[in-house]
Amino acid sequence: MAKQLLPKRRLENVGLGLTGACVALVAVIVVTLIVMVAQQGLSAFFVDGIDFGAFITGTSWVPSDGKYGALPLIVTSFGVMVLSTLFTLPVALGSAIFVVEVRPGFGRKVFQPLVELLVGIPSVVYGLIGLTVVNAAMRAVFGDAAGTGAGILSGAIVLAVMILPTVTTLSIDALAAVPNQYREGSYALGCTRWQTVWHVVLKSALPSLMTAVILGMTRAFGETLAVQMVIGGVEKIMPAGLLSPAATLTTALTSGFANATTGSVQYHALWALGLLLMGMSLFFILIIHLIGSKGAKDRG
Amino acid sequence: MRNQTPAGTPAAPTVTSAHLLETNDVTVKYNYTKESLHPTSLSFDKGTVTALIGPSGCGKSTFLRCLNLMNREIPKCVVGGQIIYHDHDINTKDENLFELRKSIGMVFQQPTPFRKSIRENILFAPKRHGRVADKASADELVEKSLSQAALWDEVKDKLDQSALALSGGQQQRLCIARTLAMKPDVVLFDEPCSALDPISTFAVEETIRDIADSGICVAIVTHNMEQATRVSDRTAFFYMGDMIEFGETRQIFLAPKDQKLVDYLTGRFG
Repeated sequence: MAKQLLPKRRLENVGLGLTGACVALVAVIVVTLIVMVAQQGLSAFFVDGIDFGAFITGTSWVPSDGKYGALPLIVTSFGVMVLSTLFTLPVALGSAIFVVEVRPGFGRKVFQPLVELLVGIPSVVYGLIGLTVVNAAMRAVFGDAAGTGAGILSGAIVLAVMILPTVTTLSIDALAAVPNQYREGSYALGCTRWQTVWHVVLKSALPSLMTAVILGMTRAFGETLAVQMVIGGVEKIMPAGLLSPAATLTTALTSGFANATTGSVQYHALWALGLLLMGMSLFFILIIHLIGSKGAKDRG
Repeated sequence: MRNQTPAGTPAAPTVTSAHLLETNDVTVKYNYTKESLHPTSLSFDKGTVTALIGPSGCGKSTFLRCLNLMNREIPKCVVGGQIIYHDHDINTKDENLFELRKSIGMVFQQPTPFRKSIRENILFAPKRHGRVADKASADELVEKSLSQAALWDEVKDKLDQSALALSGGQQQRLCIARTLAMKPDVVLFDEPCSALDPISTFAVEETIRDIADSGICVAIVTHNMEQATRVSDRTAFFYMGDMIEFGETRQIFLAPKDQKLVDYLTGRFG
């Protein structure tokens, strides 16, 4: 009896081909991106001879003088990221607890849509508001010490507002995902609402909350436009304090590319900054995955 | 013993009762209006197991959740009538729910161990309520509670491992041990075995009997009639939100009076 392909079998092959092609395309894009950034970035060290140690530890980024010390940019990027997370976290967590544990009706109908509205605001608008409100507030509060008002603190405040919706929404989801049985189990032992939230709900939601925070941090780390508008971004030396104008990895990249000739040392050095940024982001994503798999293991 | 009410909490009105726990015409309305439990009067005594049986949706769990005021956690749920515990009506606005639940424990259908170690699951509530003085007394409490729930021998070498790694039956016994660690005088079980296999069910039933024999008042909701005959001294039959018949378990199963109960026992509905 001759083997005969059923029509259905042929259709399955077409499906396999189409979906497989999509997977292949995505894989090619990801690999190409990583290879390209790595190739361009690494040529700063291997072609142009910039010393990697000096690149990481140098405290002055003045490409026109041939100074490629990225440490001030790294420090500023991390500083802005950590500060904005510190500002956001208590507010996000507090409102998530209110929405999930205290007034679920209000939270679902009014608060959550309101917060999600914040996500849709373009970052340039945040930048504008930061420029006119936050920087002015800095001048009003700190006087001459704040200079124009541009600086790390201003950047962190604007970023804190920008990542607030992300962290809040994910925190709400994290708390809402805690099964009600845990709460009842705690209430049945005579624990108060606060004891239940603090010791049972937050503890159970911890892995998801960590993911929320890290996603917020990743966004803060990578955000460029709004930060550039409020942080100053000219002085690329070690920032003296929270009020001093500074530049992050991302703002140095955008402002630097305007002046860099393709293929020059400066051009490659900027790619090296891009590589550093990408490496950090991949690192954050790796942490999220680690937390996720650890959470899955804890659940048995 | 009843826990002391903290200063400032007005004492509940005194009602003399011959029983440890008694309900007088308790009703439950969900969403303010829908009466899901019609006036129910039952009594519970020290050292006895009372089973609440009936088909799904008959109000037996709803009734059980009144006894430790757990229904107060449900928005728009109203509990009427008197619930008399240690000669006090606890169904009042002034009653301190959290104090009350220290002495009326509850075990749920699904095992709900917290995402903590076995030891911390036991010590969670005693610590919150400031009842753990030092490590020695903590260790003693952990061993005693786990032994009472017949779990000690199985977990004594892994007290610091996650409670979530235990089997379903072990988790349920851990939840019982956790409840006993608060030294309650009433323990409420809400279908504690419906998520368990037969062997675990048997172990939990033994534990329930032991708890009652140690002088604690036990109420258990079950849809398993054999379970009711195995563990309980008295049985109440609920149907469509009404408490139909209450009596000695032997009498309920061997000489039922109400026709609805007869129909239920003979499997005509379920």
